[in-house]
Amino acid sequence: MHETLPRDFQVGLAGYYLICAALNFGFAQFYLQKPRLRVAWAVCGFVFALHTLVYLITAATNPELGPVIPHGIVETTNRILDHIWGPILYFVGSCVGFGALLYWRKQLTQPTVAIAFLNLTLFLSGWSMTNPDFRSIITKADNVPIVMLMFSVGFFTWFGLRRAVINDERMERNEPVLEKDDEKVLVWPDLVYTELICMIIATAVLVVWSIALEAPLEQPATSAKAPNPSKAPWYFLGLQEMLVYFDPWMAGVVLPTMIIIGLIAIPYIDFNPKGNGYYTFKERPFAITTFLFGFLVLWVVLIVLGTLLRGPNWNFFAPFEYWDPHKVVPLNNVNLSELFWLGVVGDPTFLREGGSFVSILVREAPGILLTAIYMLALPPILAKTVFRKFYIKMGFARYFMLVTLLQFMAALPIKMVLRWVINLKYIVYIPEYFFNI
Amino acid sequence: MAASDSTYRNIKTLHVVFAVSSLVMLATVLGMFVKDYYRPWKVEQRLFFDVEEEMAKRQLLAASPTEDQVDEIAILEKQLAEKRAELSARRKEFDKSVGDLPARKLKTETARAAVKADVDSVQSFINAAAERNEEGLASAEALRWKAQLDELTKRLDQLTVQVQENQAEYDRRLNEAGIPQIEQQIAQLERRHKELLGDFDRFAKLVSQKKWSTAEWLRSRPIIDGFASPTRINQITLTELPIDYSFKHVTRFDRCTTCHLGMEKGNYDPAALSRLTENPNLDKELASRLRGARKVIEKRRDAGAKDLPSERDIQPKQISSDVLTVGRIRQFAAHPRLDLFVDSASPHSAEKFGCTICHSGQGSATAFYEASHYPNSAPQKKDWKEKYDWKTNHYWDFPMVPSRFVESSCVKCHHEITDLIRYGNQVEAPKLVRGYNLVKELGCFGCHEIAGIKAGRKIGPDLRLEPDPAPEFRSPAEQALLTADPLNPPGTLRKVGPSLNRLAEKTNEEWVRLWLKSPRGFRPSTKMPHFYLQPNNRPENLPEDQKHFPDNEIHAISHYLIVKSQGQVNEIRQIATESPDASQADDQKRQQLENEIRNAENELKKPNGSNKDTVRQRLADLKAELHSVQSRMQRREQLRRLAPPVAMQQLPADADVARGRVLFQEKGCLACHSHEATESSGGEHGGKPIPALVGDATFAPDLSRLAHKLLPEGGKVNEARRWLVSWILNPSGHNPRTVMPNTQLTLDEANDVAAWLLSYKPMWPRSMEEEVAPVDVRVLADMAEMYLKKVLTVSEVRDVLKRDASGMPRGGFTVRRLKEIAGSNPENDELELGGDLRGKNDDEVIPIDEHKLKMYVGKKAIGNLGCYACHSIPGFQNAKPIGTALNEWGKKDIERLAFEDGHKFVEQHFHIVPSRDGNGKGGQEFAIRDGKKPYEQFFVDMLDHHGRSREGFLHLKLEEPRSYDYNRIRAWDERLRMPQFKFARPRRLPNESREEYEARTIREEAEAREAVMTFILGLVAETIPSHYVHQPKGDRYHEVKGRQILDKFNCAGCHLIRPGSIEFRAAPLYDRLENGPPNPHPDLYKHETPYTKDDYFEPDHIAWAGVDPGVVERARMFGTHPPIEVKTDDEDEPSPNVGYWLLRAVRFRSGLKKEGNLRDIPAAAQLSLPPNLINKSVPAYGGAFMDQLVQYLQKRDRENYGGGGAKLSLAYAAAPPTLVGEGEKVQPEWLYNFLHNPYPIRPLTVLRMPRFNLSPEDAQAIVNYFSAVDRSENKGIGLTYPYVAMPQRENNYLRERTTEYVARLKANGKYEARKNEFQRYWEEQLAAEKAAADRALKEAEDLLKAAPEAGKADAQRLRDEAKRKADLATERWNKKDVSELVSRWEQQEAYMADASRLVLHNNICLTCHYVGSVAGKENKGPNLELVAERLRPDWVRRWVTNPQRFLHYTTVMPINFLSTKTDHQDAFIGTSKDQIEAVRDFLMLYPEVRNWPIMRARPMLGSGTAPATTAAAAGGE
Repeated sequence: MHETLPRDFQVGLAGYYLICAALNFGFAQFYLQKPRLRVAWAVCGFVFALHTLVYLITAATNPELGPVIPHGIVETTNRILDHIWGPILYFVGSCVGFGALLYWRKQLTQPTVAIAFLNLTLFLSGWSMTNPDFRSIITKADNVPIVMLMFSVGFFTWFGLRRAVINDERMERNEPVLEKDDEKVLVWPDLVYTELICMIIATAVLVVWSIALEAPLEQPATSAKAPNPSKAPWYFLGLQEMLVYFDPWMAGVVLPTMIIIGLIAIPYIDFNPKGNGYYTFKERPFAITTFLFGFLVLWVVLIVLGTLLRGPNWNFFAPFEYWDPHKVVPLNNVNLSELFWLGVVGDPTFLREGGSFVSILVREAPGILLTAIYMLALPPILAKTVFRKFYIKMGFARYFMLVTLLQFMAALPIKMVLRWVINLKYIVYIPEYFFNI
Repeated sequence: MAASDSTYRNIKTLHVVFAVSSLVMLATVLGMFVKDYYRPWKVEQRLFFDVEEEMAKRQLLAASPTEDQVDEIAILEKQLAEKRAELSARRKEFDKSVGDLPARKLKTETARAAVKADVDSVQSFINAAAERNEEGLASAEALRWKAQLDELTKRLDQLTVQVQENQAEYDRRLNEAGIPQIEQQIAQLERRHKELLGDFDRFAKLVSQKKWSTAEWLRSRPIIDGFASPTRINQITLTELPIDYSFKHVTRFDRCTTCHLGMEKGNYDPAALSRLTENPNLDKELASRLRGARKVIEKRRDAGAKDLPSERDIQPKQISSDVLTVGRIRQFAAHPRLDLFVDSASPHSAEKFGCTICHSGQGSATAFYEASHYPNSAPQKKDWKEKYDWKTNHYWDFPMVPSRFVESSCVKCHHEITDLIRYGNQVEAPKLVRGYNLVKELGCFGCHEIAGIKAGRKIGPDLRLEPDPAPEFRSPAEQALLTADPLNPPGTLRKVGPSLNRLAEKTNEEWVRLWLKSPRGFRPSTKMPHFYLQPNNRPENLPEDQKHFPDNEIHAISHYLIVKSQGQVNEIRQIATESPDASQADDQKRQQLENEIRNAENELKKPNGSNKDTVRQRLADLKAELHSVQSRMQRREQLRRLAPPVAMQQLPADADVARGRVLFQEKGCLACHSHEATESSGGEHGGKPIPALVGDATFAPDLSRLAHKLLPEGGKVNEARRWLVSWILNPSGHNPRTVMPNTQLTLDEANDVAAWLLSYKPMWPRSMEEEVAPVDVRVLADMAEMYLKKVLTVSEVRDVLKRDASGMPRGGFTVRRLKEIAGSNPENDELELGGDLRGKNDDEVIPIDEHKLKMYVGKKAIGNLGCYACHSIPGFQNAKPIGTALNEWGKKDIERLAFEDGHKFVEQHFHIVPSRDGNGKGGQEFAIRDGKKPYEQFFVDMLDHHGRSREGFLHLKLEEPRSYDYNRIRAWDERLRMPQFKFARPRRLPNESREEYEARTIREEAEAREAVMTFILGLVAETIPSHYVHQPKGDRYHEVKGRQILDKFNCAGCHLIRPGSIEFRAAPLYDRLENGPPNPHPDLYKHETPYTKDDYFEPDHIAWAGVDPGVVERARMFGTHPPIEVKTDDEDEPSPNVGYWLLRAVRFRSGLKKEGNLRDIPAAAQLSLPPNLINKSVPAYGGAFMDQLVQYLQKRDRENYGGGGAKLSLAYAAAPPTLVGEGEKVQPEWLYNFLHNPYPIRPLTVLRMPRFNLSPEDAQAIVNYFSAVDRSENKGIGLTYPYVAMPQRENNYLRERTTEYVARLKANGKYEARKNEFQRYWEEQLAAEKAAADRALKEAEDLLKAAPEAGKADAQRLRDEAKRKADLATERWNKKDVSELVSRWEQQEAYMADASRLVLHNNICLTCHYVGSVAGKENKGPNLELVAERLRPDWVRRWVTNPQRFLHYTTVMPINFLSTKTDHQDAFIGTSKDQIEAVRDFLMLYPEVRNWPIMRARPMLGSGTAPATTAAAAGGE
């Protein structure tokens, strides 16, 4: 049993494929000189065009015949991503992908690879749209910006890296960078005129957007019934995801504050003059890696996770899975103190809640110790070893600023890994003073 | 700075880009306008303008004169013009001829006005002077002014004369000129003209208004439309009726009328709208009207009139049905019930209530999807999906209520539900009221609390169980405690099932087992739901280790019930046989114990008492003993209310079975019960065959298989008969809360009925499945283990049960452990595993055996299944309801409903049909197919992930309550427990095949289920401002509440309580009445006011004078079907017309004109209505059994009841009396007492009013109901309640009447004759008085002789007094001095004495009635002695005036005092009206005056003559 695609939707889908086809024919035109690529893109274009035709025909005749994503694929995807493995696979995969992107940036930013990747994405998106559960999430007016975000972030990341790779190569060959340009330009028309044009285009885009996608008319909030899932605005979904792993005061107060402080501090920490006005990777690998990890992996990826894959009760749902509010996922998380006293020592005497301040400290000693080591002992150790050069170059204050910020940034993936590996709930758990880490 | 002229970018390119982007911008702006222009509601409104224009045209054409009338109009107009011309001509002439008269007239008038002003002024000066000066008016100043005033007044008078003369002159001249006459003629012509064209002109104006002006057309053009559109959002703002978001109220904005544009326009019915899509040229009538209209307009235009629609404007156009689709017709149509909703004159006007309060959905939205429309069926859903891209709107918590459930919204404000019944029996929300009644009838409230009050606020209907025992069985102190909290009053509903406290008396364990397994297998129409053989406990669906659980559980439950009830039965018998001393002994014991306790306590208080511990111990023992004595006394008190069965020796040895059947049929049992043996005739009794009586009652159980229950195989016949006789004689002795009344049968009669019931033992077919397998102790032990594991540790359970190799339990509890487990709870379940612990050693081990296991498992199962919600069961007095409370279910969050795998269950177990009203094509009809029951697609979709809704959940829950366990792994006691109900319970009709019956059952069940759903979905507990909540007050409140009590006891089973009503199109009917051929019914006559018939017209009474209908189009009349006559031969062709017997007068105006004379068709007239005039027919409330009995009697006893005419009247007189107008008839206090203790009143009835188990509140509610109904419906009669004034009983009244009557006697010259008549009596009276005085004297003398010395003086004085009186009496007697007696007669007695000659007249009342001990010729009517305490005086007068007006069949009581005649002057002098009043007064005073000596002097009048024939007189002339 599958749900028939609505007639209108099939027409829309045909339009989508038509655009994809046009895009590919454009590529083919662009690669006129390279016959093999030209053929490849043209074939892609024809495949897309064929889709257009199929959906147009079924929409016109019998909508029930409109092809949908095979049940087997839906089931397999759901099974692979289902339950607890979902977020792990998703996040670890993202990290690996990120590493791979930087490592093989030369190969991966080849236009051919990029276009192939784009085509694959478009193709999968198109088919995925035929799944009602996927469609209902992706077509929600609220979620459209996220889709746009995915494509635009992808494009700009590719663009930056591509230019950086070329520049790096050029620099190796002692050629000027692509952006090399010493001349000054006129305010009018070079600046103001372009700004005016941009304004007009931006306005037009916004108007078209608001015409095309109506804001949903929802009910006023009621205090008796929270929506399930209850989601933050899309740009805060990364923060909301952190709440899964941290206490609200950490995820909601400390970490965001650190992000802001970190952003403010960048000019003072990063005094590498290279890379001004042109793209490069080789000249500032650390800065770019750190930034991209923070932005792409810890922010955008988490936003996408929060938007598309988190459903009722904040459970993880595979893209083709029905958002069943009755789905129950076990949460048997334990605190570090319990792990230590029960698992390692085998003596629950110290595990009592309440009690004197000292007894709490004793109970939570392992966590406090670990945190102390992480926050206090790690920076000097790093200064002596991995970051030795940094330390020497930056001096004490700047170095410590940098390392502290990095530590906070790293805290999130570390906590995530600990949660998945040993079901760790809190490293330090002092409910008596609402202090949990 | 490098200056350069060249720019960074190519400026030309920039220009191009700029141009392109600007164009894009322009395009987007245009797109914006397009989008705005095509906003869905704007499209609808633009379209509606066309529809409106077209509708106005059609209206105009409908009102326009036909071609013939045009000619008349032309003549009229010509005449008018002529007359007007003549008028002006004459005026001119007149002006010439009168000369200076007008000038003179004006002059004098002006002069007079001036003088008048002076007079007023001078008068004020006088007043001022009088105030200023000491002498007042006599002062010089005042006098001066006065002189002036006199002069002025004289002048004024002169002038006034002149003015009047002038005026008279002027008028005369005017008359001579003939001007007023012409004016009058013109007015007449104008009136007729208006009659013909008034509507036309109005509509013509409308048409020109509805036509779009150029400006409007321009404003509606794209783009301009964006700025000043003629379309606009219609919005109703309801700050007072906000949307309730729990804790936050948001103003409600309803914009529904933005698209539903014709909502308030009465003439926008779907038929009229769909006519717009037809080609107007094909409509001949329309064409003729169009021609007429054209002519009129032409003429108007020629006459220079403006504002007329043009030719083109009135030309009707066809609107394509592609545009005006079926959906749009529905959208534009008026609300179907404008009398109730939307219209500003209706009780729920749109301005005050909006739309979404009833329909739900998002009112602020202006587009189809956003408004949260919700389809009513799967086909509609499909249609919407295609047309409007409909889908479930998840963004709105309150989607539109599917129209089949829309009545559920009524509950928000109508908490009483019965307040939705108007005009007696017109149920405005039939589905909801049915649901409400079903919930009450089937006892849903037993498990699911439906509380009407929450946190002190009324939130909905209040359906809660009463406390057990009921408040009226508690001490006043306890009652006060129960009702102490006004915010939480105790529930009032009784448990719906029979009490099981004495089950063992009634039947045996085997029957209980079979019954439990399949109640409907035994009694197909039973209310008892099915607990077993459900999808989640059929053996084939259970895991291996639970397969035998159901049957063994049944064994356990039945064992528990029988054993426990046997205990109670024994207790009752013991207490019944116990000597009264026992309770006395207990009372003494209690006092003694209380004393001892007091002593012991005092001892403890002593500072140096010895052995305090011993005393304390003793005190504890004493208190325990006191407690046991007290509880024994209390228990005895409780059981005393119960009666042991009739003693065996009292039971007649044998019985007359045939008589039993006759009694069963005639005594009213079938008003509540049914029995298949009565459905066919058979047997004979009293020499006459017994005909069938098919009852349709489902109020009480079908008794067909009763014998199987009371007399299971091997049961003792006498025991069963004895129980049944006891039950019939005194049901509340068996169960104090039963609604079965005391039948008032004698022991013999009850015995015969019981014998007949037991003699009928039809087949009880059972399938294999319904048989209960033999008990298996091992399985019982398994079940006990399961329950025990929840209380004890696993190892202890193993220890206690000690299963041997074969699995049999061999262990047991120690007494100590059991006591530990039970703690202070004497009703603890585990105690059942110990049995009686009294006198057992703590260490003793009580072995577990089959009996104990059954008791334990049985108790657990009963608690688990909630049997006690409907039945009273020993050991479950204080058990709490097991179900979810329903008072807010209607808004329960969907995510909190466990849909589980219900969807798949339905797909696999049902045959899914697209809709219920399937047309049978392609086997899609709503019927069983392939052994699967049908299930509507609509509800299937509601179980699906994407369409989940409360309605869907509830529907399956009611159809298959256990289905949500499907595909789920559950432990035995975690399974769903709700049993499967059948709501409709239809009876198989006599000539219905099994298939037809089955199909009907399924359909009716689906309807009934929806009714229940409608009620439950309405329980939303929404905060509605209190002034919106319908709170019936005064009479209406009593009516609403009383109806609930009447339903509770099924009063309507026997009695006709309220007339039905017919809403009809009045005009044709009235026309027929006035102008039609001779009326088919002689009673249907015309009459003018004043009323002319033989009785007196009562202008204030609804039986004589109807209520002015106001509107002509629709009127309502009240009545019922005419009497049913059973005929032997069916020669009569059944008339297609609907016969109707009026129970209230109908009033209309002659010619249906405002100025027409009022005409009344009084009550008791019989009408015959063509069905096409009837809009709505509402059945009467009650009386079904009456009709059945009447038909039965006619067949059973043709001699007395058969053959129509007077005999039919006798048959009705033999049936339960009608209670229409009961409030007007009887005194409330009498009714209250009568309800508690009814006694026989009517000699003709074959049955007796039973004594119902009414609480004082119930009885009061019924009394109030009747009074309130008649007071509010019959406003003119000035009914009072709860108190009735009896002016007839006041001394003054009688004295005045007597004086008046004596005067009348004198005036008629009958005074002396009367005196002579009484002379002999008065003389006798003197003699009697003399004899009495002599006797008194003798006694006094004897006393004097015997008196002791000290008392001599007193005795002497007494004797002297006696002597004086005796002398006086002797003297009177000697002189024959009757003067004192005559004066007493004159002052007090004359009126009553003559009135008595009417009442006790052999040809009048005594023909049929007895009066006290005075026997009448026949005993047909109630004894008139009862009148004084029973009836209201006003009603008696009206009844005597014309009894027929009050009944729905031809009564045997004649009109004795016709308004056209003055008979019986020998008995009473006066008009018949006087005589009626005299009769009334006499009857009201009868108990007082019956012993007046003068009554003995009554001459028997009319004895020689034959009694008036009843029937002839009854029918009137």
